[in-house]
Amino acid sequence: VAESPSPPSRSDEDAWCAELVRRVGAGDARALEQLYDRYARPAYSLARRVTGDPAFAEEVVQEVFLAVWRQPERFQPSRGGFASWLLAAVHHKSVDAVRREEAVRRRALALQAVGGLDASDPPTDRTEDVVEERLRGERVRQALRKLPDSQREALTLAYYGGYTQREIASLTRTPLGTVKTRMHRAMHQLRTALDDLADLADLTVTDRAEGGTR
Amino acid sequence: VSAPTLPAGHDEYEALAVAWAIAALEPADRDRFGEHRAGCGRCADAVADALDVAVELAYCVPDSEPPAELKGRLLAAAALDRPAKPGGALPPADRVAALSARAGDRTVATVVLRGGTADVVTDVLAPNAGRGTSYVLWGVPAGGAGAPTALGSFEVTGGLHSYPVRLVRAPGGYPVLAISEEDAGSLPATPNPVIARGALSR
Repeated sequence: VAESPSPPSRSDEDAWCAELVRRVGAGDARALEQLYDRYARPAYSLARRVTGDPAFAEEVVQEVFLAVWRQPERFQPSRGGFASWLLAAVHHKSVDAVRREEAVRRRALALQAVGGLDASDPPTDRTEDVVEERLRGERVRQALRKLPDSQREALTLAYYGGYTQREIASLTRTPLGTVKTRMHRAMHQLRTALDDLADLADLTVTDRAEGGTR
Repeated sequence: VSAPTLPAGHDEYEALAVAWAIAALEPADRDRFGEHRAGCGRCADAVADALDVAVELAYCVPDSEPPAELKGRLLAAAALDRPAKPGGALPPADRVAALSARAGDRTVATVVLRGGTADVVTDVLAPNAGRGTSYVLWGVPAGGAGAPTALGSFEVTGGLHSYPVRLVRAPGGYPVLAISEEDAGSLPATPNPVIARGALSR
């Protein structure tokens, strides 16, 4: 395992982030820079996917990191990890940006997003973070494929397309209540599928470890 | 003040929490849920739970490298926004100038005018201690008519900070500011090669 200045392991990541956010609160620009180095890439990738526009994506990422700088207390470590929180902020801002754009463009993007889920992108960087994020992405794609089509559609139109529940209802000619239920079930099933896949990954790692000592 | 009560059908809020986490709510629902969530631990937890799933969706988009300039822009904006050292909020800047080697290049330093003071925010200019030099801030007259005027000098110690300029003349009357490196303690009549220049905001 290569040594790196980033968090020593996933399990320590939350503590690492909480400490950096605390330092940001004390006015330490270095801490902001370290958070940026670690999370700018997934943040920018997400913003770019949702907005479909590099300039919008840059704006969103800068706004979100500036918000961390200005109001670090808005992140509460007791309420979950920093990555979840930061990427949720990036996602919400991206969706807001998209909603300001005209509907036609969004429709095209959403369809692209749904269609593009199976596409695996050629590796552009070999750093550990990127490889790990790629594996993580593959796991989510697997989990998404296990969802019923109607649930996957509701979820991806919302998350990647930036559509509201009402818009999805009219887009897919489905009653609003059904869309809400599908979305809720999709998130629930996704969690279950991800937990199963994580368990499987743990087993595989254990197998390998045992195999290595024989 | 009455004791907080769960509204009839709190389940509805938990459904809203999931939809909130993937930004799928209508603006009205979003506002309604936002108000409720602020005072509801159960919903805050429901949101955190849903965000843990949503973040996985964030990780399965195609990977794109952010442009290198974005980091510099963010750090400059952060430095402008608040001093890099703790010590309380400063009043907002009156006028600013982003200085670069050539128009369109990345920003080398940002000059911030506030009250009667000037500060240079940079993490690009090399520390000058030990080189026997000082940096000098210049005012460049409109339309390139006339020679630049030395406004004051400053020292850079390294790292992203706001460095105060020891002003000898007010910088406000010049449309363009520039920076050069000169012998320590001197404010010459004409600058060494200008490192960076940029227009002053109104």
